This record gives sequence, C-alpha cells and structure tokens, in this order.
Amino acid sequence: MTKVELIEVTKRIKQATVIDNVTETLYGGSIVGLKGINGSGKTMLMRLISGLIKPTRGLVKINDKVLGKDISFPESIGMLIENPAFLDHYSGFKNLELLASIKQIIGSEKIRETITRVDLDPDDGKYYQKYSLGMKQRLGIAAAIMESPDIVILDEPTNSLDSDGVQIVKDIVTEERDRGALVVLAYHDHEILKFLSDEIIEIKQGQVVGRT
Amino acid sequence: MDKPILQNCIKTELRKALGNYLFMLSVAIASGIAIWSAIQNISAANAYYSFIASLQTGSGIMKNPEYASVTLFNSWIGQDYTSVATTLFFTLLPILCVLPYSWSFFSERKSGYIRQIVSRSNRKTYFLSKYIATFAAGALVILIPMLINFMLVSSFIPAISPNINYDIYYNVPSANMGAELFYAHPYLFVLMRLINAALYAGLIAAFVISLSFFVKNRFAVLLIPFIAFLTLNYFSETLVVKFGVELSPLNFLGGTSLGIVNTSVVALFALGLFVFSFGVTMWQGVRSDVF
Repeated sequence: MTKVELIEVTKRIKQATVIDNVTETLYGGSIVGLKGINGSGKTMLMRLISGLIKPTRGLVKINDKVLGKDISFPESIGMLIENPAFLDHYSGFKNLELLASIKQIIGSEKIRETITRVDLDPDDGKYYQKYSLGMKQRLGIAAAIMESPDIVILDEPTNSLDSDGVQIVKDIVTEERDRGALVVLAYHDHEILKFLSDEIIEIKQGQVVGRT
Repeated sequence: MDKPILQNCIKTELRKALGNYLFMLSVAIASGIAIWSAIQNISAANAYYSFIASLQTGSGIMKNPEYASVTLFNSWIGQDYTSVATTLFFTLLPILCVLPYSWSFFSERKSGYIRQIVSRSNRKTYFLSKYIATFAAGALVILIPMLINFMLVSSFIPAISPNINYDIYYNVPSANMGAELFYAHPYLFVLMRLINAALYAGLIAAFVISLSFFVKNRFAVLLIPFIAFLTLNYFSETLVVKFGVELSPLNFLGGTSLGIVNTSVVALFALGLFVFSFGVTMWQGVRSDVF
C-alpha cells in the first residue's frame, strides 16, 4: 500500500512561509481532501507531495524513500495541479500519446479508454487549443489517471465542468480509490469535498489546523 | 537517470522539436535565403565564365590563367563573401536557429506543461532531453539550407580545387582555421564549415534555454542572442583592425571574415557557449522548483 509521509515540512518562498511545519501520513486506498481558503497552502502541499517543489525544511517520504534524495519524483503519480496544460497543436489523443510515450507503460487502447472515460472522443482530431475550458479540464483529468498511478493529485478537478462532468469526476475519484490509489483532492466547495473524501485536512496559513 | 526513460524523453522532445510548424517555417525561410544566395552566385559565375570566354575568343588567349578564381568552393554559402543573400543568412542565423524550439522551455514552464513531463521522468532527464532537442532543431535549421545551397551551387559551378596563388579570391589566407584543408582537401573544408555552423546554431539555440531562467519576457529571451551577436559583430570590426583576428561568429562561420579566423577563438567561443548553456540549464533546472 502506498504511504506518503510529510515530516515537519516547511516551505518558504522568498520571505513568505507557505507551508509551516506540517507532519501528516497518507495511505493508498483513501481519498484525502484538502480544505482551505485561497492561498492557504493546499496547492503548495500538493506540489510538495508531487516532488515539484522541495521543502525548505523537513522530509517528504514516498514508501519510505525520501523525495529529492532517494527519488526525485514519486515513481507512480498522476496530477492535475492548477490549470491543465497541453500542446496546442496536437489533438487530445496525440497529447496523451506523447505523454504516455515517456514511460511506455500503457498503449493506445488504454489511452482511448481513458479519454472515453472522461466523456471525450478519442477520434476527435480537433487541436487542443480549440477545446473548450471543460474539455481541457477533462483531458487534464485523463492525463492524471491514464497510467493508473499509485498517487492521484487533483487540484479543483471540477473547475469549468458542467454537472455531467462533476458526476464523472466523482465516479473517477471513487474508482481510483477503490483500485488502491491514494487520491489527494483540493476543493473550494466544502460540500463536494465532504461528500467525496474519506478524511479532510484543513489548512490555514500553511499549517494543518484540523483533520476530520 | 533511468536510461529507457531518458531515451523515450529524447525521442518525445525530438518529435516535438522537429514536428512543429515553427521548425518547418524556419527551415523554409533559411532555405529560401540559401537558394537566393545560390542563384546570385550561379549568375555571377556564369557572367564571369562568359566574360573569360569572350576574352579568350577576342584576344587569342588560349588558356585562362585565373581558372580557379571562381569555383564551387568559394561560391557556396559557406565560403561566399560577396552576395547579399549570404550576408543576410549569417546575420539572421541567431534568430533563425532559436525560432524552431528555443521557446519551448519558456513556454512549457509558463503554461505548466513541464509538470506533465517531469513527473513522468525527472528534472535531469527533462532538461537533458530539452537541451538535446533544442540543439538539434537549431543545428538542422542552418545545416539543411547550407546543404541545399551546396548541392544547388555544385550543380552549376565546377568544383575546381582552390589554388593558393589566388587566395585573394577565396578569403582563406594561409593562417586561417582549416586553410590547409581548404587548399588540399576542399570537400573536408566544406564538411568542417557545415559542422561548425551547425554546432554554433545548436549552441545558440540551447543558450536560450539557460536565458529562460533569468529573462521573463518571451520575445526578449529569443532576441537576446541576435542582439548580442550583432553588437559583437559591430565591435569586432574595430577590434579586427587592432588585433587582426576575427572575433565575430557572424563572420567566421561563413566566408566573410575581415581578419584571420583563429582556431582557438572559434573553439573557445563554442566552449564558452556550451559551458554556459549546458551548465546553467542543468544546474538551475535540477535545483529549481517547478510551479
């Protein structure tokens, strides 16, 4: 089972402390919701778990391996942090194919299946730049889950989505958890977060102020 | 570094670099200028040969004593120093080679696309692949047009071996880098010129990646090499009078050098570009946070 440990993690950017002495342990097979107002540190915490940023102090361990020392990134992670970003002059399928070609652990069939799972058409040759915001968000979610990663990080995944899209995200998040993945979610909508999460971590000014 | 992932990452980056429309556009523009240079040189050579033929007919001269003054080896873009198109090609080189892919890191970091790649590989792999692909795209944008030009010019102008007695027609004095090759093995000299120009173009393209860590404007980052090389070219004209050595890459990459092309200068300049661009890219890339 995947284990993510944050041990006395502090992150400072310039003079500001954005994450302040956080110690938490998260396990696979669960959905962890991050709650907090804008600028509270939810996204920074996700970036720390993802290995995108390095802690100023403290350790982040993934399955007992120290990020930035034993490994530079979690070995199996999918993420959608802030806005989805892809290459403008490629179709959705081509974009995912290009990303999948790095690890080569999935083939075209799995990519097509994942695109269909987020209710997009894998045969749609339209360039990514012509996608609507909702379609971009769906493709971002597809990229995060297509390789069945052990850790799935989703930052406000229902942004720009209609009610059908929100339902798809809810289903995906539950399915990923049931498959054994650790799903970390950040939401501004407390009701959705409460509905989806197995546990909620509340963050305020970079500090964990509650866990329910 | 995981070797298969590094190989996959390099392939992916090369696919992105060589498959994007800006690469095609840059090759098309550079090739257009190179073809224009070929046309100018072929026309000039034809006029010269007609003139010599008319002299021989009129004066009874049986053999042209300056038969080697116009040859493929001083008429192709890599050694020509007379046509406007050739001057334009080398002047625009620092822009042409950064257009295809040097913007890529800047753009991927700004959009957040970098997150998708580094999380599937790692920082070292990402930056090494990016460096290689950017270098390759920049080098090819200059190499392909120069090869087209060479093939075109060689179809019309005879490949008479250069003669040291006529060195004033070639702008390759005996102290120049590769002068022995030019007079003894001119095809090897052509190869050296091609490699040299491609190497510099690749390094200038990759140099922009390292600049992207410090410069926050997309256009500025692409224009800095062009402005820097033009400035250097401006001052090199003064310095060449004082030291006699050509210091401007815009001149020593082709045949338009005003002073002696010194091997050490060419090598040191390339080494400096490599050390700065590769060093900064890998050092900053590995230690920087990705937002």
